Amino acid sequence: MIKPRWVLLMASVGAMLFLYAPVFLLIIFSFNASPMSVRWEGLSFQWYLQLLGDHALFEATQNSLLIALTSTVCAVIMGTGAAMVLERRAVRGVRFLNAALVLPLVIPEILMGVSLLLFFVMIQVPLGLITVMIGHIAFNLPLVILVIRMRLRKLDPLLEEAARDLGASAWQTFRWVTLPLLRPAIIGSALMAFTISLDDFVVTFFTAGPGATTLPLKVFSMIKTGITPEINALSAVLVMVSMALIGLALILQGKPIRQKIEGSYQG
Amino acid sequence: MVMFGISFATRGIYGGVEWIFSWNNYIRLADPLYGNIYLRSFLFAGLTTLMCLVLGFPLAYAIARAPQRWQPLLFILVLIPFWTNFLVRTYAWFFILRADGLINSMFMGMGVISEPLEILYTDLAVFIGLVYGYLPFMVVPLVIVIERIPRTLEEAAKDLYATAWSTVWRVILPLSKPGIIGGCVLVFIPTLGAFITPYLLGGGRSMLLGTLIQQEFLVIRDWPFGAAISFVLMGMVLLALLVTRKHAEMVGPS
Amino acid sequence: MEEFAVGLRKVVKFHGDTIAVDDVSLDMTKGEFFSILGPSGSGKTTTLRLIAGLDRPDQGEIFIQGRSMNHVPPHQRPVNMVFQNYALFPHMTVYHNVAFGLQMRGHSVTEIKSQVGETLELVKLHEKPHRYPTQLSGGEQQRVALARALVNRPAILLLDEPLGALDQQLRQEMQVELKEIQARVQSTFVCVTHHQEEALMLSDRVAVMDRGQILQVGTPQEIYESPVSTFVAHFIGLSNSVVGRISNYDGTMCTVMTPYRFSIQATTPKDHSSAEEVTVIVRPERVHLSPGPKHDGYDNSLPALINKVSFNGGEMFYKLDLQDGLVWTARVPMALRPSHRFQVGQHVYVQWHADHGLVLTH
Repeated sequence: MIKPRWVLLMASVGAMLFLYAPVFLLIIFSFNASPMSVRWEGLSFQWYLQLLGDHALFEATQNSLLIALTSTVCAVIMGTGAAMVLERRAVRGVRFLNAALVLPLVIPEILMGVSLLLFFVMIQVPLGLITVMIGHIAFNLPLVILVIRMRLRKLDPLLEEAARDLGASAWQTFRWVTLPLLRPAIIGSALMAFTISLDDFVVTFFTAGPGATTLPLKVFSMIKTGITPEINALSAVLVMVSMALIGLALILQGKPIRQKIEGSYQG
Repeated sequence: MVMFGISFATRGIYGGVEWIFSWNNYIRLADPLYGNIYLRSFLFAGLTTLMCLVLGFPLAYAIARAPQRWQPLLFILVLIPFWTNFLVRTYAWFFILRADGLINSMFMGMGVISEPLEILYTDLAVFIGLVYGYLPFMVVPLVIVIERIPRTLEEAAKDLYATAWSTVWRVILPLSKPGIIGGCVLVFIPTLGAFITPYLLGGGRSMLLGTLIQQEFLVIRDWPFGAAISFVLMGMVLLALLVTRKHAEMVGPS
Repeated sequence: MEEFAVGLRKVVKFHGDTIAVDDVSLDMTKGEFFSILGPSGSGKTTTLRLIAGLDRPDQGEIFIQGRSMNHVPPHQRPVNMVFQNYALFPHMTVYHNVAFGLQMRGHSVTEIKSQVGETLELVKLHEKPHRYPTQLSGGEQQRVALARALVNRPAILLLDEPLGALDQQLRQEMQVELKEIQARVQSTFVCVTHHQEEALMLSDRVAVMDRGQILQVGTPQEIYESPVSTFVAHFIGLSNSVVGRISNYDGTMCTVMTPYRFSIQATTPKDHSSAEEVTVIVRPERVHLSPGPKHDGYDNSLPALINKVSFNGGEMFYKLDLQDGLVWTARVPMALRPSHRFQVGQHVYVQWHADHGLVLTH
């Protein structure tokens, strides 16, 4: 009989390989000198240099960063406020609101994109950067609210009461006790929102108008028009940027990221 | 305020349709041509979920039971794809599967095949892409749940003469049911409406709900009909959510 | 009229449909250590929270230093609280936890510094101002919680199960220290606890509470010597009881007929009518055990079987089966003579004086 330990190990290694091999291969071959084939023809940085010279790409990156930054800031501010209200005040119709807040997290992205598209057209807002931003806020907001609410729920309400008892007004209590204790959740959700926004394709695809090309949209149109080594290079850059961001997040707050993810699943 | 916008927009699908077109779009939905696409979407989502479970469970178990020192690192390794651009990850398969891609050149180089295999732009490619794309969604909830199962339970099972296999089958699997259900929901629902993967890896040929909706909206520009399909997808999603919620307490992990 | 530190007048508080505090009136004198003793769910913590202003009464009025508090928010009351499990701010050091209240009230930096230092010294934590709460032991956390409240010089300090999270030994040490600290700061301390020994030891006066109602208020001696009801008696650890009816009462001495095969002699100052239903309580340390039936001047002597023997260092505890499931406890100082020690299974006689039996009517 085969040892179960070995089966387990092999299966896990297999699954990990399956997860990582494609992306790593892509990175490796982005340094390939050969323009078309997968045959290795020597190390080269020419595709990366080519990327640097691409003006449209630069613009798309700018758009992406702008959208990610605005939508993250808006989502975090609104989300913190909404989470506070939902957790700490008796709100009428909480059950309905909860359902309305979970729905965007579970439905396929394409539905979100289509809904937003219809919404914008109905209220006659021309598609552009603004609509993309609103779209991103729309999918980031429920996420931020979820993460912050989870954290709020774990906070001992006695801490806030203790502050009140020690002479802090409602605002002082929020500023000096609640907010600092929420900080890990706020940073964590902001990082999540930022990366998701940066990487989002589907919602952007449906809500972007002319002049609002983001990086993923650019990548998409490049893939559609044909495979070039330039895309390999661009993809590799994107992967490495993502990894750097994750690394940053981990350094910034040690392990809490992990708890955050757990938290967002318990919803 | 924006969350009202969301719910409003979600309802907007329905409203938009009702105004302009009445029920014609829903009658068109019954066309067997589309019926086939629903069925395919369901099948794809189901198979992907199953495959993710088969691949993900051993991995999740291994991570949950890894030595304490390695565990966080391994967990993060599974999480990284979450933060990696989905387009790029799909494109990576593009690169591997195409006619002059990695697999074909490798096999041809070894002399296994003489003609390049046609994998890209087939259902198989879409399937691989979907499993690849959503595997982490299965693994993460599983790890969280398995990790919470006390190791002593396994020791107790072994003490009571259970083999390693039966320990997994009779103890770990039933106890990780919440994780299995959670993971399945997290994989099944997005794959049901997947758009990028079938679009890129399936070419124009692999028509699923996601690609159909996109086509109606952005190519054919029949918005009301696209909205009607979206609404059907929404219904399927809600149905799937309801079913899992109901069965969460009754159905065994098999 | 004497000005009380805290006064509760017919206070009622509901939690949803259940009544948590039921028509409670209490007065706490300035400078006393007052304890509210009761089982969990008796409404004692709610009472404390009402005084602190963290909950609002549904009916009735609360006075602090003669002023009605019904419309005063918690941060404007001359009251501070030591929370159950302390509720220390995890993101602040010991120093900043203690300084919090003063900072919120806008005291100057130098003033804060000197007062925090002084208070930390009072609770013997002046060597660890830069630690975070998680780096402290349970006893140290308890002291921080105490300091954090005391630094504000509250007229009334509220303590919610202050020693509840500590182990037995630490609990005893802190009891002594708490008493000393109270003597130093001379504030009114209002303490909530379910631990009868703690309440009796710490307090000048104790209120026993159950199901939202105050059953008895008095000094620890009063409560212990003459509990007003069987509930109070049982709750403060007097476990030996037997029900019966008065059969003969001559003004001081009565005979109580029990449903068992014996009757009891007891003295009682209260007037009792014949056939009145009563409970007789005998404190475990008043019970004398004798190997034989001879009375030695005791008014009561009942046969019993030793069921269990335990020993806590200074005293022997005997669990006694009297008759038909009637179980009593005897607490006997460690006897030097082996002849006065008993073993499980031994037949003995349970003896006590008539004036050591408490006759309670409910």
